Amino acid sequence: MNRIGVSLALLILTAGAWPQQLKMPVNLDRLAAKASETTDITLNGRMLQLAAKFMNDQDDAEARSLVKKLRGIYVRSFQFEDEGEYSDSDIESVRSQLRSPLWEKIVGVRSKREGENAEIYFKGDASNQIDGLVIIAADPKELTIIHIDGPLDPSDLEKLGGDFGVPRVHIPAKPKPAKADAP
Amino acid sequence: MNQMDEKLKRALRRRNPSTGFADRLLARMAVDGIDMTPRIERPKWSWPTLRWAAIVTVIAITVTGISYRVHVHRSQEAEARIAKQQVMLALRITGAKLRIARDKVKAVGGEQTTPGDTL
Amino acid sequence: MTQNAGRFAELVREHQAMVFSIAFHFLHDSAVAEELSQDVFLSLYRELPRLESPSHVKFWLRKVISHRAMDYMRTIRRRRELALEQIPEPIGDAKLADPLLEASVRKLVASLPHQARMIVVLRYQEDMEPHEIGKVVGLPTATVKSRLHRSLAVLRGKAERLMGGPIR
Repeated sequence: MNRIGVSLALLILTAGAWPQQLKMPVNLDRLAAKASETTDITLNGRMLQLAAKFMNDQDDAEARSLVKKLRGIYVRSFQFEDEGEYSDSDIESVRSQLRSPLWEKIVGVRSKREGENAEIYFKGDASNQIDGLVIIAADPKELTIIHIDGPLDPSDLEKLGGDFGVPRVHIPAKPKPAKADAP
Repeated sequence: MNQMDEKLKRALRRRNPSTGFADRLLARMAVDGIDMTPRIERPKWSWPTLRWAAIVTVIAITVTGISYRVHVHRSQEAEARIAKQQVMLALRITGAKLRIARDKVKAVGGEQTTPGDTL
Repeated sequence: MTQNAGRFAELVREHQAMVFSIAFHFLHDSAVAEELSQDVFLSLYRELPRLESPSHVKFWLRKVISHRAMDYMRTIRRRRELALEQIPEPIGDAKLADPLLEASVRKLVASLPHQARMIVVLRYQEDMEPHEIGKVVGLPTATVKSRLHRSLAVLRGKAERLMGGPIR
């Protein structure tokens, strides 16, 4: 078996060892007690389908086409009065799940001076398409974790640029296995 | 009263719901089969009472089926409306955070970024 | 109280502005506020035989709509609006002297944490005293006073930043 095949086999085998669903850890709920403001959004597939049914305005069309394909949208965002109300260990239980081979970190920016971190992860499926997005934005007085579960096309995100201010995102193409290219 | 108090009082003064609120409520009560007729005192177990009880029971069973469907539909509509608002909020937050990450990448200029990151 | 459609409708019309406004100023969503208000009046109809006086009805309505609105927020688990300008304004009926300013103030109130928000609404919409507010929301009077004081400081600060100048 060649290297690509071994990698693929490992991916399939190890994927089973990691939970398919990203879990928002329970310890994040403790942060709500310390936060001056909290945003907590949990939308599973059923709720997204229901929402999509009522997104009938012309303005909603692009959001609707995105949302219809998704399995879930989860947002936990905490704003604190003071710095130091949360620590890296609070986010570690999310990060540890993202070390699974299913996830790839495509952006990691740390500003030591301002103490601000931004990380973006994409999850790939067996056919190399994006199947999930996680954003961790950690500022001294604000922590936001976003998980969008489901198929995403970079063009979906671009289309939302007008309404949602989502910037153009360039996803570096993964090298395709040579054998897969053969018809 | 200071300026802030005045502003709050003005901004938070009472306002009416949309026209026809009371009428819609009464219509909803009728659909739900809530008896709004004046109560007249009668002996509990008189024959007219029993006959009317039987008639009302039959009507109530019929109306319950209709009102249940109306209730389910109304609940779903409310649920969907809430879900849509949350979806829009979530997408706005996502857009804001992606934008911030992009700006950080540009500002830092590749310092301490992981390979392959582009925004 | 004798219950019939006409009298109940009168009761609804008498209190609908109060009930709807508490829900609306708390939730900042007129459609949901109407839905909750209707539910509260339906409950009122069932509760009426146990309510002893008009003032008891008023207290009951304020208490129930406050709790329903706060429960609703907990249920949908939305506790913060990302951008204040995204919060829609209702179909209003007031001729406002300064509609933009008043809308901004309402949005600032909508950004407060739940209990603080309800305390501010009951204080300024209903002109209730702290001990009355405490009975409605289930908090000690001292807690109501301190939350009110803190909320006003926060609102003043936010309003001053918004308007670019001090507000006394």
